[in-house]
Amino acid sequence: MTAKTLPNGSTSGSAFATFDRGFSKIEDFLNGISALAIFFVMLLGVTQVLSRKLLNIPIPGYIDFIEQSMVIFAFFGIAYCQRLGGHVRMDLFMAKFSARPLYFFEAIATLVGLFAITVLIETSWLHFLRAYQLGDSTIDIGIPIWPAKLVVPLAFSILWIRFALQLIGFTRLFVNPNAEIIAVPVIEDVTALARHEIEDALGEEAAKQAKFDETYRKTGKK
Amino acid sequence: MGLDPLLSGIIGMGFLVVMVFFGVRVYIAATVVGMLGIVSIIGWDAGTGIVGTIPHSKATLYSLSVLPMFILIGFLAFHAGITTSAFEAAKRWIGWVPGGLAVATVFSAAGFAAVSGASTATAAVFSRVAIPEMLDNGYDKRLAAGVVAAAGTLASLIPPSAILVIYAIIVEQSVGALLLAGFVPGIVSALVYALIIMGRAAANPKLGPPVGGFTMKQKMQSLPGTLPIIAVIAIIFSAIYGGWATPTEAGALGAFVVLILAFFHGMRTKALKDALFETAKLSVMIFSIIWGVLVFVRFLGFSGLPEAFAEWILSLPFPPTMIIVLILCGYAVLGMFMDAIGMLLLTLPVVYPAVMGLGYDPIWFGIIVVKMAEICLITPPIGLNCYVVNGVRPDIPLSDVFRGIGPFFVADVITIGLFIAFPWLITWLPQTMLN
Repeated sequence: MTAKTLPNGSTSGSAFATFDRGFSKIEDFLNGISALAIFFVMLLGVTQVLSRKLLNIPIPGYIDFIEQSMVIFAFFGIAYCQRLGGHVRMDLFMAKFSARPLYFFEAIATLVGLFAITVLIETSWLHFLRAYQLGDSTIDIGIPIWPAKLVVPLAFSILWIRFALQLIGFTRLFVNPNAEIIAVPVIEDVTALARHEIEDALGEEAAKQAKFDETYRKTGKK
Repeated sequence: MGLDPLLSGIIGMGFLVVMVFFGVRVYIAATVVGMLGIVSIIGWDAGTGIVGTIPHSKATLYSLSVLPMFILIGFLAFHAGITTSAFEAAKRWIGWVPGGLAVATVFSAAGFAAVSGASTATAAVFSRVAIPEMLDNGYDKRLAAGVVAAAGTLASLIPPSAILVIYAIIVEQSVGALLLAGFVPGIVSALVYALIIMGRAAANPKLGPPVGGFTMKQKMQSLPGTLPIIAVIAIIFSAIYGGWATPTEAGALGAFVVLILAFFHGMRTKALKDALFETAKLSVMIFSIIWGVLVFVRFLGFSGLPEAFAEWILSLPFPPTMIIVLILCGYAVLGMFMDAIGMLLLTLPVVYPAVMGLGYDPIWFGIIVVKMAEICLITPPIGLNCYVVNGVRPDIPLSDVFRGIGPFFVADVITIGLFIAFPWLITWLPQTMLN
């Protein structure tokens, strides 16, 4: 199950909320680059097939280009996805908690993420450094590999800041569960998930109109 | 140095389960357990050094680049207006059988599945296209709602299917073979659904009266609308079979065709932007969980746990079929709590070698587990597809949707039974076409 947050974050004027909004813009921008890269891979694929089949001229280094650009859609959107709670997790159990224990476990889970990413930033940086110093390049047309490897620690650094924001956000809510929700995704129940699926398939209008049978869930049966 | 590898493997597995239960995102939980596990076996510097190379090296394999293409096709498919024409064509050609409109829903959803890999999206789209027409013709509303929720699940078997690509990557099988393999089981599932509908409607005509009386001319006129579906199927199949394009290139071509059609059909640039943003978000989610789980898989490799688990499974005094059925029951339970991608990625590294040890075919097992994951989309307590139908059609109570699903759940159990009894239903097509 996945969960997503309020799309535009909080409207609160505190410094924390303002920073969260500003940082969200950077994440949106990076995800936009990732979206463009996907569009580019589609166009490149079509061009490659047509040019190879019809003109018998394959694009030189096509696979090299694709592999090097994959790093964009594999990593640029990672913090954006984390902000929106889009990464896969199981929250059936978490959804049973009341506010304070929930925020406690959310904070712990975020701390675990912060730890993992801290180590990964350092080690993926070393991975980049080796490629840079040795001058590694792709097999076919010899594009240098280090720029793609550099993307990984950079994207993880953005993700690190997102985790830090979420850690502050959850700790704040743990201390004061009634405070306004800022910078953290909220758990969605199955109806909210269904609403998102409807929005993706049929558009915003249909999602707004969607109504769910409340009586079934409250009593277990109708 | 450090812990006994097998012991650290078992501790790691337990630790992973606890973390996932307490809401740690799967890509993080798998990375942390994998990293600490490798460190416990070969030390901090060497261990973290290995882990640092995995995200880049595993996420930039060319074979994975097909995923965003397939996902994009799915997000664009609704805008191309394919559903209405597919349903119309199916209605005119097979509406005359008992329960004809419900049967037409099954087959047009199977056709739509050929341009979309998302179950929930298919259920949403058909709630809008097929349910009104069924209700207008006096169909039982439980049948109408149930068939739409169930037919949505055909999307993950019939190519293009993102989840089958993910399976192929994790167990290191051919992406092309898995994609081809999903086709026949998708059709078989559709046929079993159709038979159940026809049987019930023949016994009780009030459930779903036939809709006939279309002239040959009207039938023929409905066909051009289904051309986009045929085009996408032809591109993907002939590319994999004929080898004239890689799956990524075929996916790119398919996405491009659907995009052109969607523009023809009046899609705005805003909708394209939304589709691309959603594709990017879903792609990064899938890539993250893939490299995260591959960190964990590297640790399992060091620990020797998969081999030990396989040995234990093989030493059990039960016939292989019984073990497979038990494993599938395990998936049915797990699927109640997790979504399909997370469930497959977390369990396959350990379960897959054991199933291979029992002598089953890797392609066959992939189709079976994906089918299991789909069944979980229509069964309580979550049954996301049922909620989607209820959301689009609030006039049909959720309890009716779940009751309407009943016969289709039975159909799915029969289908799984067929696949276990006749494995060639799954393996025949990829073996014939790729050898």
